[in-house]
Amino acid sequence: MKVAKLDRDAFETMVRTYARAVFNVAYRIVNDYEDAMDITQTTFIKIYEKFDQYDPARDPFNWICKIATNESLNLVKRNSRSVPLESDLRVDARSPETECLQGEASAQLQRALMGLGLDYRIVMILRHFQNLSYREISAILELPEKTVKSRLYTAREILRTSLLKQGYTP
Amino acid sequence: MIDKHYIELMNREIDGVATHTERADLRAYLNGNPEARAHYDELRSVDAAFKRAGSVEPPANFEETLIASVTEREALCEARETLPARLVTLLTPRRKLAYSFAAGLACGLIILGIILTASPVTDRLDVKNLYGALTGRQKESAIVAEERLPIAVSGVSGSIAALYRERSITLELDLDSQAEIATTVAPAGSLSIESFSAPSGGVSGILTDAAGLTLRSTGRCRFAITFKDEAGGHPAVNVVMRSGGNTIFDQTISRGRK
Repeated sequence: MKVAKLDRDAFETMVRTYARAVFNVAYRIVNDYEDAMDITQTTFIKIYEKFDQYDPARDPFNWICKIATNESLNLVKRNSRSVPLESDLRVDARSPETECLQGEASAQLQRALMGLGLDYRIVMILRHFQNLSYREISAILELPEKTVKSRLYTAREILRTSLLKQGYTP
Repeated sequence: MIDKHYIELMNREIDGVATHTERADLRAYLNGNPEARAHYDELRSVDAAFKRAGSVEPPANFEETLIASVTEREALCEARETLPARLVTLLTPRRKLAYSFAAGLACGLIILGIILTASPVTDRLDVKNLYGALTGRQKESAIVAEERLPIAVSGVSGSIAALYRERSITLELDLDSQAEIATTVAPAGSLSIESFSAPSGGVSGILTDAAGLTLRSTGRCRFAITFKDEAGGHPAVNVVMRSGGNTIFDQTISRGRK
């Protein structure tokens, strides 16, 4: 693992530009502040190790986002293997600090998001929090665009119902 | 009941990918359908919920900590890649035992090689002290000493093995040359050629004259010549190799030569 000085500068710029976005994607998927930090760190370590494969002509965020999403998915799958139904329990396991950091609106949405299946949750997070297009989401998740749209519309319907039940008012 | 087509249009509109025509179509549909309008507003509120939620703040100095942790990891990896550290990692008790055994074996082989190189003449059998245990023919055929000479001269490698019997000397030549070489084996004293054999290829010509036996070969070539010792004494055989008109090897082979 050896990165040239010039690349190191580019890497640091990349961290400063995208670390928060990666952290947010991870947090929204795994619903755990510490896990999100770990995922962000692992993501950037992997990026650093594969930095020679990085093509500056392409949008780096999709590449970074793909790694972060895979890392998050792996963690959720590991956790679900070790403790079944963990994701449902973790919705209510937020610390007051986290609640405070997020704000009520954010926490309410997070609760609704955690009610979604993982496949639906991810497309909603990438579409709404990262403003990615159908095509970009399809590339990151390696799914046909049609599947992305279908999941997105279904997830939106589920969230609509869920937020209504929570008494959410826009 | 809302038409599925319009549900899709609502989603496309929210995602900002609806065309001008689709938007107009949707607007007209919503104006005439209060149920669809309510549904659309609720879907829009989901979009609004994401906008209101904003982003979650990571800890202070998050980026700096991240860069530092990656740099630390790189330093750790580099340290692990240095030789002493690698050895420390590799030397588990089981590996220590394996490496010690391999080192001991290697040392043993080296010592054996040195011993064999340092004493080329080895007496196998003291025929004279057998007190009639062997017949006369057996005594004559028994190898009493052997010597092996490695050859490493310009363009030629291989060896000459000299097998000394009571009344004969056999030279076994194993040569490997890039160009054609002429090897002349000339007996001295009371020796005369008894037999010649070339079990492998590579021999391009054989000539016997007063100077002895000359054999031309290229590449790998093995042959054996036995000289009979008619009168006993201290016989010797001169081996000369020539390549391209130059003498590249010239040595007299005799028992007890040092």
